[in-house]
Amino acid sequence: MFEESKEKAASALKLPKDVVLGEVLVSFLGRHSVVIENYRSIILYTDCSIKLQAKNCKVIIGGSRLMIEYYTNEEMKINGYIKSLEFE
Amino acid sequence: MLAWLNHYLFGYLSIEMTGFSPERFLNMCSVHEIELWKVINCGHSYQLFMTVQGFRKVKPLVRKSKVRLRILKKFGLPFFLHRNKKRKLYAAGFISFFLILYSLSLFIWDIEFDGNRMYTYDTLIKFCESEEIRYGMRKSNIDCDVLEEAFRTKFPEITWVSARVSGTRLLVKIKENEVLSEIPAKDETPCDIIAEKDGVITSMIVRSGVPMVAIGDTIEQGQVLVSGTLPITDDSETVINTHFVRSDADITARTEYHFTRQMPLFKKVDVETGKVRNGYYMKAFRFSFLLIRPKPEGTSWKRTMEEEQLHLFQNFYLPIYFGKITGKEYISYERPYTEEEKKLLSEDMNERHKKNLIEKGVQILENHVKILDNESLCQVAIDFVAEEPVGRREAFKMQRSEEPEETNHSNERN
Repeated sequence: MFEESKEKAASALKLPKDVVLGEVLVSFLGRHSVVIENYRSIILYTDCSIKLQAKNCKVIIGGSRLMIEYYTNEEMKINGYIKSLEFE
Repeated sequence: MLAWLNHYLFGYLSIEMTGFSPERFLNMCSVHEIELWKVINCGHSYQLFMTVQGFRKVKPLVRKSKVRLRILKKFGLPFFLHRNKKRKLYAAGFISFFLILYSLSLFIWDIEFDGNRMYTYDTLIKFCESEEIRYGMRKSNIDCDVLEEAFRTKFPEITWVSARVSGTRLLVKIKENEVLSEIPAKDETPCDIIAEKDGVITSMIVRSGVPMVAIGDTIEQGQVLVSGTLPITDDSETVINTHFVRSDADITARTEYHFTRQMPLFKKVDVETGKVRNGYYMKAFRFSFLLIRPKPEGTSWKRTMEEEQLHLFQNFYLPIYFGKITGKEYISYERPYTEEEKKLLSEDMNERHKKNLIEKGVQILENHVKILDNESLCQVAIDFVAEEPVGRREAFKMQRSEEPEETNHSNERN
């Protein structure tokens, strides 16, 4: 109920939803690097897939030679050969 | 860049991580704000980079997540200093390099003038020295405003000066006045025009004064050509008054010049043998160091030097000069002049005289060159027939005893 009104308010006021609602924001730069913002934690990290917990979904980046370039509480940059992005 | 500098300054580690749940460790690190980067998964183990401060805080997290950390390599300034702590002289040299560079940058090592056309570099540098501004002085002792002011007062032809210190150079930009700054005051004192040289008058235009000679007259040096004494006569041709004026006339006369020059019988010839020696030299402050092989006994060498001042950037000049010396061996001997050479030499002499005359404003009508050759002596006779202005103003002397004021008064009355 609260979430719905929050979303309405955000769209009415034209506020960025990733900030107001805390939704995950994924931005690709080509297929070699991706920046994921507003994630919660790392669930799985291997050479060929990275699984992250977001607010109300899980994000799975698939590929090969994946490397976490840097990560902080809110933001993570992944470099490597990216093949797929899945939500769970 | 800033992050890299921060990491380098405080040191960072390359770490291999193995164990039960590496993801939990990574999450806990981000919660505790321990900076990790470049996390790579290689099979069972993970490799990552961590700051030294982070590594100090990481122990409880390691225990909780049951991973094992192993330091692979250490990077950064603290580790570098630790590794090289025995190399004190190396560090001293490194620091003294910067210290010397800094102390050199406190002085002026080059003075440059730009835009001077009338005043030579030497004139300006001498003036600077008289103003206590010289090569090698402290930069802080220079007051550019005072220097500019001094330049403008000393050289009235300089209309605009800008002095500034850039790096270790003093740059002075000058603009000189292109037209005369003042109109010369007209001289109104009465005078005669007398002949400068002997000759025959070819043309004569008299604007004021009494002409004493006519066209075609032969004149001698010192003869009065135009008199400034103007006699006023009445109807019976008796002089009732004299009027003194400043004579003004253009008088040209045909003049002759004769020069005889002796020519040496033997010519000294330097022939290069083709042997070349190169050397280098270095000059710092007042000390110079020469690096060239000594010359063998009884040989003569011509030396040329090229000097260049060392500078770091465009305006950071240092008091160090490098130079290259090139020495060429030569043998000199004497031989008599050939006819051809004599001719060339006499032509050369003639040209030089001609140039001198033309510079003086003389128009040359005829020019003859003769080589008078005998056994013991060789002479060149150069003759010119020329046309030139011969009049020269000269204040008269004898009338000075009279009182000019009185005559002036009577003039007015007339």
